[in-house]
Amino acid sequence: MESTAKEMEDALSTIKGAYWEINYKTKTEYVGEWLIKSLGYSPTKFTKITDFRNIVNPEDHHKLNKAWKAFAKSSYSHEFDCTFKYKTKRGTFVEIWSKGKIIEFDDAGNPLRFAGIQLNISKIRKINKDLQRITRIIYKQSKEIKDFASITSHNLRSPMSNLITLVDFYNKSETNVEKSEIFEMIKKASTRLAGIIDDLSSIVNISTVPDSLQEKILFKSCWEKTQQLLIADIVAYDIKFEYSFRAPSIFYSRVYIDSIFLNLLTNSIKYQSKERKLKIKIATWQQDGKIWMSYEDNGIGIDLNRYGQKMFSYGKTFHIHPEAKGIGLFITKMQIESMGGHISVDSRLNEWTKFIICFYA
Amino acid sequence: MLNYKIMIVDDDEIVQFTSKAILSKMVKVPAENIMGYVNPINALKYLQNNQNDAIMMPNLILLDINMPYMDGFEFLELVGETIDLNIPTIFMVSSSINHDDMRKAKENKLVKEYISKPIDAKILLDLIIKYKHQ
Repeated sequence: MESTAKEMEDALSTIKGAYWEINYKTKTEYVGEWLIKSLGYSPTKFTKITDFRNIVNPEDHHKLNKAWKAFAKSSYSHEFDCTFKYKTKRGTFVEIWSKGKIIEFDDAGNPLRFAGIQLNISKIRKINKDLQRITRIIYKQSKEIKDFASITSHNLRSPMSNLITLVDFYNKSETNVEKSEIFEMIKKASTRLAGIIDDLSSIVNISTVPDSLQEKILFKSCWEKTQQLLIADIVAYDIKFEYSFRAPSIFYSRVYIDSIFLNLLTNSIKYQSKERKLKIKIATWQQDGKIWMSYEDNGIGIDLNRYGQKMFSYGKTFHIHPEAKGIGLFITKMQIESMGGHISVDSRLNEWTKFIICFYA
Repeated sequence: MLNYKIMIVDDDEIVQFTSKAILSKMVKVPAENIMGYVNPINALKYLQNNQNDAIMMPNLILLDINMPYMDGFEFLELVGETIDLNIPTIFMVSSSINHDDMRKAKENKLVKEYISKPIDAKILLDLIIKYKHQ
């Protein structure tokens, strides 16, 4: 039997497995050497299946014992099936899938021989996890593509239909006054169409930024830069800032950070209250190994019961405002999420709006 | 079409312009009988304030779906809740090719027709005649 088992052992090692057998009749046990060697131990110390208990991950002892007990007194049809971890000699853990079967019973139906294999499934587990991760990414991307297709078709359709109608009118109009009036409209509609295409292409360009293009960014200097861009408004409206950068820096895409900050600040300026001077509070901190930022203004706020779900959607504007295009927060959200983070909003109408950003998920 | 009043609720000023032109030129609705609202809230206020006066109320509303502050469906909801008298015929007019929007529009009992933009004058005229005496 031993030579057969050895051959089997060779074969099983190719799939990172090892054969074991317990024989009550001959009172012998056989444990394949390959697995134990691969864990870094000397096979001479592991001749019985019980010897393996010493290297079982302490957290898995209970589970394993329970599975074994249920198996050892079971009937023919029952299989041993348990996953647990072994500690390697180097102190790392590998995941094991152990399967076994009773292969011989005595006349009274008591088990005589148990046999099974132990497989090192660490690699499979890792591949599986990678696959799950990739599936999630693909699922997310396919959803994004679908969303984008609907955004594109909807947003291009409306200015296109305007242009078609206007051109038709232009052909049918009889007076020059009418013609020039319609022509002005055509100019307006085509400018808007160009603007929409620009917006859409900026959405297409959002994707996960590779590590090589990320850099250490100081929140303080980045906010100062954003303020410089809007300095005219900041002076004109006498906007006040309050900072607290408990997390002073972040490793991130500079392009995204610049865009996120600019979007938040332009929003605050756009939707500031006429009754009080705009005040903005920005704080960063570290929590659960992630970097967070809160951004709060004292602007006109928003009725979240009504708009909460739609706040970050494309093309949603909630105020009658000439500059509202409904793209800023949509892009901000996409940029943050493409890097694995998330953004949420809280607000009280006519009082304040607060955004919380977690930069990494 | 002399006494026929139409309300256009659409945030797009170009749509306002073209719809008015179609209505006055092809449907022959006098320009003074066409009310344009870029803000649905103001349109709603007008309806609420004038619902007791059949002459002031529009016979027809051309209602856009995607608008800031209040979308077409919220507008319908509020019309349903607050307008009891002289309820106008409502056509939803949208460039949306979103099937959900179309389905929602068709399921809404206040909406008589769903018209795709760009508006075809002939189709609009036929529909106006179809509902004129209802």
